[in-house]
Amino acid sequence: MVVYFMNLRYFISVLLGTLAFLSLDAIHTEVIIAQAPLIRATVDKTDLTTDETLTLTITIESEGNISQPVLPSLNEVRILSHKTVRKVSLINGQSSSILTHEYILKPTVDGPLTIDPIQVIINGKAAETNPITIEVHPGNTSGNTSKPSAQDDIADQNLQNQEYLVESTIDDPVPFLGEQITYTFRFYRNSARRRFFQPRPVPQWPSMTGFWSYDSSTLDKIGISTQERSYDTVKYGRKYLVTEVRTFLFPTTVGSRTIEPTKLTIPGGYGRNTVTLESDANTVTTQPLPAGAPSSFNGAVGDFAINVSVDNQSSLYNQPVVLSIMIRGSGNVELLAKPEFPQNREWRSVDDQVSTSFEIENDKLIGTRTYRTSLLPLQTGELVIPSIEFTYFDTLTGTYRTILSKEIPVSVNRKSNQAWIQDDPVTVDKQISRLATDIRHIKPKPDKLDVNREPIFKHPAYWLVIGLPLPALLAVFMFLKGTKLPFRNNQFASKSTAYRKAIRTLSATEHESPMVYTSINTVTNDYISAKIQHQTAGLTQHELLILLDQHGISASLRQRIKNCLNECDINRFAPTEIQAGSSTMLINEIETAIEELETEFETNLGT
Amino acid sequence: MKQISAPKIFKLAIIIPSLLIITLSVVNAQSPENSDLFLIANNLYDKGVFGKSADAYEMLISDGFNDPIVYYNLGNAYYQQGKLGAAILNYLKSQELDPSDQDTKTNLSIARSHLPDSPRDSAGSNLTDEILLFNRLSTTELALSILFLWYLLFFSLLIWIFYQRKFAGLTSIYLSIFSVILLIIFSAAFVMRIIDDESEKRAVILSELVEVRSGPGKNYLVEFEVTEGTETRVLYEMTGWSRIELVGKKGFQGWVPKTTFGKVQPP
Repeated sequence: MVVYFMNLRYFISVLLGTLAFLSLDAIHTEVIIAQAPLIRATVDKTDLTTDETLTLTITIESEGNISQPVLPSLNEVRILSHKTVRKVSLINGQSSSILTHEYILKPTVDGPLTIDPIQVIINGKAAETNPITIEVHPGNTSGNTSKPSAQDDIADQNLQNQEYLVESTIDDPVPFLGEQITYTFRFYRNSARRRFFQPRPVPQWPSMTGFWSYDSSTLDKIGISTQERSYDTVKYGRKYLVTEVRTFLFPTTVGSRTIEPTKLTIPGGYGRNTVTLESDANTVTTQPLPAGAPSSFNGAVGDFAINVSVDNQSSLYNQPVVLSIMIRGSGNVELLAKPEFPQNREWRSVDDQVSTSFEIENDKLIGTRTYRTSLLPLQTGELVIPSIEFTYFDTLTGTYRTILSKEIPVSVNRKSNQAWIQDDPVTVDKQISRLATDIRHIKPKPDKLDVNREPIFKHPAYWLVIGLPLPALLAVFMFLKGTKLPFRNNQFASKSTAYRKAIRTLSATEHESPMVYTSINTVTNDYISAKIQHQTAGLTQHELLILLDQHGISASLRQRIKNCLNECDINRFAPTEIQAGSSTMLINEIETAIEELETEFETNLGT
Repeated sequence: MKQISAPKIFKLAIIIPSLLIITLSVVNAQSPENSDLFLIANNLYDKGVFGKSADAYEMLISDGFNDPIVYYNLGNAYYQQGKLGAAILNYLKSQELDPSDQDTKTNLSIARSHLPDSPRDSAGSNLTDEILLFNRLSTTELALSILFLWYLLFFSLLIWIFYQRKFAGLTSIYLSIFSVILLIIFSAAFVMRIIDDESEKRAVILSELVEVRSGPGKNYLVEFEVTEGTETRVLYEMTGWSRIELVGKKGFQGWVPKTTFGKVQPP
């Protein structure tokens, strides 16, 4: 009985639920907000909770140049996804085009929500919708577990009576080139089985060729692990646990591309077979960016904000300040080009550093690209870091937008101990780049042109001049040798040549010359000096004879020498008329005496 | 014997070589009259009449002027006409006379950069050439440097002989050693230069495309072709034909007509 009543209650509750669903479905009439013939905005519900989602559809019936809808400020809702569908029909030879933008919105606060008029530029003329007012009630759930809504409707149909199910979706199958889209893979698992041993399914992800992809492994590497989430869902009385994995994609080529199905293998065991599930393939048709991009556009697509700051607004001359240019947004920030720092006479950019970080916000991958540039002040005083311009293609409005940072004043003071640094920026070293290379110009006429002549070293005079110092040095050397040792001192005279020199000198002496006795005296002294190797100049005759005695010369020979020298002295200092033949006799006598001296020296001295 | 004092010897040692050097320079300094042609050539160049300007510079050279500036300007005039071979040849001639001129070096480098095959900054130059001073000097400058160093050594020795035990005498020893070392280096460089100049015989191809044959005649096989501006060495010469070797490409030798190239060194 109890079982019967319980089944009855269950039946009644299901019946009531079904009736309620049908009644809600009946209420779910399309609310036409704007009656304008060209553009209208509709919502699927006007009364919902913060746990539910809302579909805002903008339908544009027109041909020609249609801009992206300009959404009003929606601070109280999150845009979960956006997709665009264009239908072209040809009836009775006339074509018509319907462009539909569908936004999935989720209110974040309760209370009345007003969506202000949405503007679209159609063939240069602005058209807009009427505002929409929606009542939002507080929800029951919060946190990570959320109730899937509109997008899960497709899945709902397939969930019935199935234990496992997979699906893959693209939030915007018609994106612009470079616009962020999300590939979501969902795995539905019967909640009743999750308390038991659950083998871990193994996914096999498709290739994402044609897209810049941030999949789970890439995001894990950069420290983001929130791309996987789980929640419960109840459909047709069956409770499922849904595991959702997202991959963020940025189309890199224009045209249609198919993302192959994702396969999921659930290992078997414990009496269960291995199950392989496969999602549907997804097609993405990437649109090119519209023409008319500003010159400052560098390929950034998405929604961005720029924030510029400096580390110090009061700096010293010749000391850099660090300028941080931070670009944050939903586009692929890793492909962003650095915004140009305007060339000016106040600052010089000297160094660049780039860093990138990511986070997930409102189910979108939000990246932050930060460029740190060291700026060297070229002047002192109150300087200004100029505005920095950044242009991107706004996918929400379908237009190119240029945003400017604020100017930043910086006070630059002269260093007290570097007063010598000049303020003139012209004197500061600048980066110079060569624009072109050409040959250097011809030279002007010199004062004198060289002529074709023989090289100087081939001229004999050159070698004459080169050779001159050699004989000159030799002459100087010989001259000095001569002046320091005159022959009469006999310091360098050779013993062996002394006799020959003496006889030769005596032979050459003119017998009748008045100087003959001087010569005889000199020759005798020089000979004795050379033989005994002793200075004889300045010695008395007596001292000379003693020296001869000391060298073993016989007394008779000493006497003969003495006689000869005496006769010379008499004739030199008390000259009388020279008798013919007397000098000859003396010369002969001294020659004989020297000859005998030589013999005795040889005997006594061995020389 | 009559004594001669040291100052008198120094006077003689200075006066006699000086007189010889002056004689040498006077003999060497005879120059032709017609140097106004240089101004005309420069004027034509400035007006963009490069062909006539080159003719005027050529006339100056045929008149006996052998100035590096004339060759430099002539090289520019040929460069402006697109005659790369003649431009490179005249830059090389200018560099031969004044190796230190940076303008010549730059223009030669630019002219070479237009060549299709292996343009080089400087033929045969290396780091040592750049560092050592004597490689920036011409042969005449080297010869004069040797003369100067030789006399420096001579006077140092004289001072040492006369003032051995005084400060000047001691200083002169160091000066002598310094002179001897430099003299050896410069003399070696001078000898190398003379040998190099005699043996290298550098030349530049002037014709647009020249067939290099295996023998001195048109009946011989064409082994390879060279384009205008290619730098070569002349190995030996026969009537009408010369055997050349490409600079920097060992083994690329062959015979070309004498009219197809110009020599850096005058014959």
